[in-house]
Amino acid sequence: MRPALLALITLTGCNRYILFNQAGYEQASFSNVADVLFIVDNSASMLEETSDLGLNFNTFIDTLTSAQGAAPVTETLTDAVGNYVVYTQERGRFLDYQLGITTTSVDFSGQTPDAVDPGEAGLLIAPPLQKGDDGLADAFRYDLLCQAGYWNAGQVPDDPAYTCDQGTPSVISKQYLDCVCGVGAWEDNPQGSGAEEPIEAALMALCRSVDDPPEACFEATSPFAGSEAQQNEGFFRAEGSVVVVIVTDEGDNSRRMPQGEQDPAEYLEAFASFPKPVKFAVIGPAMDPETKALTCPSTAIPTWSVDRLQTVASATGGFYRPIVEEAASDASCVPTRFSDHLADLGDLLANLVTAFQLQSIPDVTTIRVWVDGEEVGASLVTTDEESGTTTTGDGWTYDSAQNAIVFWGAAIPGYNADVDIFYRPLDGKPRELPF
Amino acid sequence: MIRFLPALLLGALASAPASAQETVDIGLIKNKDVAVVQKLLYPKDGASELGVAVGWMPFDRFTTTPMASLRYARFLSEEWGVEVDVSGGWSLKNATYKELESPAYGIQPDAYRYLTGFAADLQWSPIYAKTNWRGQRVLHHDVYALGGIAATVEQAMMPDGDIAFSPGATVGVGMRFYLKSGDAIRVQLRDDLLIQRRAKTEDVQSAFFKQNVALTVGWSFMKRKG
Repeated sequence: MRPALLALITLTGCNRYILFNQAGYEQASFSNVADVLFIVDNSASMLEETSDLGLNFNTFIDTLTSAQGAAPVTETLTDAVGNYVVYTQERGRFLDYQLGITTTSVDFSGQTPDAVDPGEAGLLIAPPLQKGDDGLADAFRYDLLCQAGYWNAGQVPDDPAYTCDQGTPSVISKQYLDCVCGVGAWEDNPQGSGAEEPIEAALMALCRSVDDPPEACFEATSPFAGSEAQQNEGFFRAEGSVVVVIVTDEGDNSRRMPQGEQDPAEYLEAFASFPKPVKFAVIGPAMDPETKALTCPSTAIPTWSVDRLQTVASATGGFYRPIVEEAASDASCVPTRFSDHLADLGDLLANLVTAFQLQSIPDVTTIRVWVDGEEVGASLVTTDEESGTTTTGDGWTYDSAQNAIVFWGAAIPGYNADVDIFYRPLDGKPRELPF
Repeated sequence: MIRFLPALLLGALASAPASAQETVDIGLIKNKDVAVVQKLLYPKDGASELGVAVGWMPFDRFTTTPMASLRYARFLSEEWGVEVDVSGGWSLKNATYKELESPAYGIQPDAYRYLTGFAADLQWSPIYAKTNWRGQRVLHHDVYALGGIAATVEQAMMPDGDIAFSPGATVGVGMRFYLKSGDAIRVQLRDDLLIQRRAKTEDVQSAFFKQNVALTVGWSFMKRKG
């Protein structure tokens, strides 16, 4: 018996293969379409952060706004050439985005699943806002501050000197909210669930956005079953990518994972069942990913709940930024600059058409890139010693600051191109492998 | 002895005579009713074999490969023969491969797809056996082992499509089940032990040890002298 067992082990175990990480999937396209979903924590501890998000939203919009308006002018050949130059050099201007908001609350306030209110269980607060809509930034600010955010009237500052014609203030006050939302209307916003489930909320939002929800949407514990008639009409478009922006000061308690489980593999597989890629940009609790030390936690946050958020961000090629930090002057806890986070978000969206994020730090010498089945070589970068200017030839370069592959010149993939990037990671596999 | 003599005599009287059994008439026996068991009915000495086979290579960590082969063997004696084998196949991604390359993991193994293979081997078949099947049929079969040289042509499954020519050795075991026509059904397990060079990993490791284990079932046309 022993020799036969040894022989069987020998047969099955001997072939060894080097593993390459792959960025870009078969369905991925360099498309200019991006559906951006904001998942906002509407619990009582989020007053300062919600205010910062609303006050700095213009930064995000400015990164994506075309100087020529919502669409390029193409009446003449000169316009077309000019637009091509702008297209290759400032591709963010041509991004076709739409915005939706919901909250981290998955529990619903009604008695039955079909009593889900806007903002609960992934249902959008309002119909999606489209690029080019009149007053886009103001409309987003209204949805965020007046419908999604929770305000404890006793904690919102009072500024009797503020009048509605003064524009956006530096600090949100009762008077400002009265101007934006209507007198006292903001005081009725319900407080969100104490169990924040941003990842589950994102999944529910996508389930409500497609005509044929995948099987993962009908999990027994999910409120989607029984309320699937309530749809996020028009949010999920056929092309491009979905970018989920989570803003929360606590970790994730999504119900499909047991308490203590830090690997969101089940959710990553669920998001992978949708027909286009989903990226996560998270502004969440400050935790060192190596030491798991929390900085300025608002409450006792289990580290595994933050680990989940950091993992979905890195696994999907997005980013993770801390929502609070210690002030340099006196080590007190202060909110981080939302203007910086929103600028990063704008860059992420713009780079959807220029740069491809990698999940791990690569061994640069092992990077291989294919576009539509044709291999693309690395760019030749030359520096003029006299003028100091750098010229990057056709091809790709690796940007260590973004941990991304950036395309240049004629090698920039066209819309709907399939991009495959292979590399060996320097720091091993980011997750447990299924063998 | 004298003490036991009466007992012995009594036993002799009571026993039935061994030679005086009644005969049983079994009727007329025709030649076709007689099956010769003791002879080697399907000799290989001086014979040649042309065979086709289909099979599978299921043991790789990331691929599973259907394949087919064409063989020609020449037997130098009842025990020894030489053979050449040409095979072709197409490796498919197995469930582990597909799970790794899914967005949940985003990993591609640098696995190589089997395309075609060649082998030349020496066969030693010391066993010629007969099996009584349910008391009604006698199956003649042999058992053999083989050893020789092999080479495969394989292609990287990643988009670079690197072609690798991989030489090595081959070992295996098998059985031929002989049919009344003299041909045989041949079942074989063969392991090709190869050295494979892979272009994308030349900086860390260029040559890898690879095993292609194939289980095949085929039909052998036997041509015997005389």
